[in-house]
Amino acid sequence: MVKNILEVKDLYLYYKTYKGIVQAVDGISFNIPEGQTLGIVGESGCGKSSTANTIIRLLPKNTYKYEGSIKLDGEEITTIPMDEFRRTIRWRKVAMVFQGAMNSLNPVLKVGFQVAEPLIVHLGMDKNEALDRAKQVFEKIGLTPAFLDRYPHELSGGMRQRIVIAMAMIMNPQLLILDEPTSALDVSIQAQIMNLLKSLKKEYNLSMIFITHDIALASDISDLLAVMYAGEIVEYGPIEEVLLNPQHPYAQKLIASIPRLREDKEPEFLPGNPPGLINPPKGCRFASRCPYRFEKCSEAPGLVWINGNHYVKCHLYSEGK
Amino acid sequence: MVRTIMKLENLRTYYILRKGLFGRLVVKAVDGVTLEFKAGEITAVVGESGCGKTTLGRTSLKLIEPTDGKIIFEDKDITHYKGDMKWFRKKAQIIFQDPFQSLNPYHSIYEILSEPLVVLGEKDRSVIDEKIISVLNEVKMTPPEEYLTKYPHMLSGGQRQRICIARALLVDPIYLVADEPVSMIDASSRAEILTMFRNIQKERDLAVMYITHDIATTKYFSDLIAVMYAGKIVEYGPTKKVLKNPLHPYTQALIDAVPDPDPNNRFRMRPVVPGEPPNPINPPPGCRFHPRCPKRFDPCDKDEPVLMEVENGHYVACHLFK
Repeated sequence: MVKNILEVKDLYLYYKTYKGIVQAVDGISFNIPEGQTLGIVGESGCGKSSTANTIIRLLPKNTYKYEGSIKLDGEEITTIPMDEFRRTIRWRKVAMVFQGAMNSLNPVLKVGFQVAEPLIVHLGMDKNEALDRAKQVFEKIGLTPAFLDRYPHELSGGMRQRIVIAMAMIMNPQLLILDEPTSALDVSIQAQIMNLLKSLKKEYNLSMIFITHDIALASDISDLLAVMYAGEIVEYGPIEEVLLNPQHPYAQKLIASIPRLREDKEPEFLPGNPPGLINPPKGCRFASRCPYRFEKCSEAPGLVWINGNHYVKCHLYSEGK
Repeated sequence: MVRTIMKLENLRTYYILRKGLFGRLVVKAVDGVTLEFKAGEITAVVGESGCGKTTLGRTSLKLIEPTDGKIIFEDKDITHYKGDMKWFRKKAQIIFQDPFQSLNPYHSIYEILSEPLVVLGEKDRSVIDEKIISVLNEVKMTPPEEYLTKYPHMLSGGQRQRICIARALLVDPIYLVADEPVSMIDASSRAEILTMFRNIQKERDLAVMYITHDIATTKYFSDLIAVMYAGKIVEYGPTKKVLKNPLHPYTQALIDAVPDPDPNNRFRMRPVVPGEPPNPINPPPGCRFHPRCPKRFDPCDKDEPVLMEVENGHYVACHLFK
């Protein structure tokens, strides 16, 4: 039995804005076994990035509610004081590749130093020693040592993305969170980066959270898939089950909307928009767009476990249980 | 016989960059493109960023002046046309990529939609109102009255793009450039917008240049496909044919790079072409794809291949097919 590297239970993150409370992450639960990758997919604004920020505890000032349990390698990390979290967890055990990070490299520092910097700051390592380690990581991500001395403007988008991945990998984290790591890249470069991530996953037995709106891309690396809708995970399970046999009506529609290059299947679509996260509907949040809704949908559905590690948040499956 | 609306002949668009006092760099964004757009057909122009596809679209609308070649619109050579362009603007329109930046945030939807009509000479308010209502119905913004007083920030990305489409359709164009119309929109609404657009296009018998980097959508939303690499068309033909039987190694690589949703993907590496697209200032000699091409052989780094018909209507520019 593989142990879980991450166990998230009833996680909440609400923001307070002048318009009201934004329920960005609303009671989500999932596990990631060691060495596996969880893909989180959903439309923009569904809470994917907020989920990642909660795990690495980058909470905005206007956080209203931050609750729930996050266990990293068996250790509860939500109750660790901020200071200690920064010293022992963030970047050391959980690292993240932020969306668009390749465009936020420091333009006046050589990329080698930028990759080595966490070692100097966190571990008090000597600069040359740190650069040496950076060189090793560079080799792993397919860049020659000559790149250590380059500045960001000398690099193409794909190379900068590799640098950002190197920055996240330099401390040998147990969990790597990737937020839309390839959405700004061309398809041919995207494929190169995905291959790189796959080889890192294999070589280091790395556990990952892969956040994207592109399900086909998620299927390129994920072992587990979580479908988010309006702040909730509506379906979670092994990718074989969720992708090939989705149960939640939203997951079904979302997966049917993917254009397929190699199959003769017209993409379906989902009319309407997701509800706002300020005062979302009381019952099932998908009810207003759902083709199968019935009376019960005015109540909030609970998790229904289908088998083993697969759950769905929908009343259709709770009957007779 | 299908009517040809727009014809581009050996079109070139170069940008001049200054470097130093006397230095001059020439960016060959579009370097000899010949394409035809017929009524009722969508031609997808596919390529990676920097390949010149957006420049091609804008040049065809004379938003950018061509350096060389010909633009023939309805049998009229407009390449160097300098006079009043309003007649052309009524017939040729564009939908921009980013619906968040291409709508004036200070204007209501009514103002946004009435402007093109006013600018192009419509004075009768009742005609304007009628047209706006009918076009909003066409893009499925119903009931239209509800949206007239709204401002862009009150709409979702998909709704904004519908407004952009409506704005382009208002003047009843016959040629339309759609520049990455859905790349900024959520994946789940893309199919919906494109399907709607496809229906409108068929109904209005529009000639469309659909610019995209997403080869997967071309399968459903185009009749013809032109694959562009470093300023040149490397393959052209009926979409179904090209996607089923891609001839150019670059087209094959583009198709291979797109994953289909499949749980088994994670167990295999994706076939990739090494390297990155070339710098358009200094493209490689011979075939521009040769440094990355897995099938390159003798002539590839010397002779530039020309676009040739291999099968009925299927063209490719590659030395493998001679």
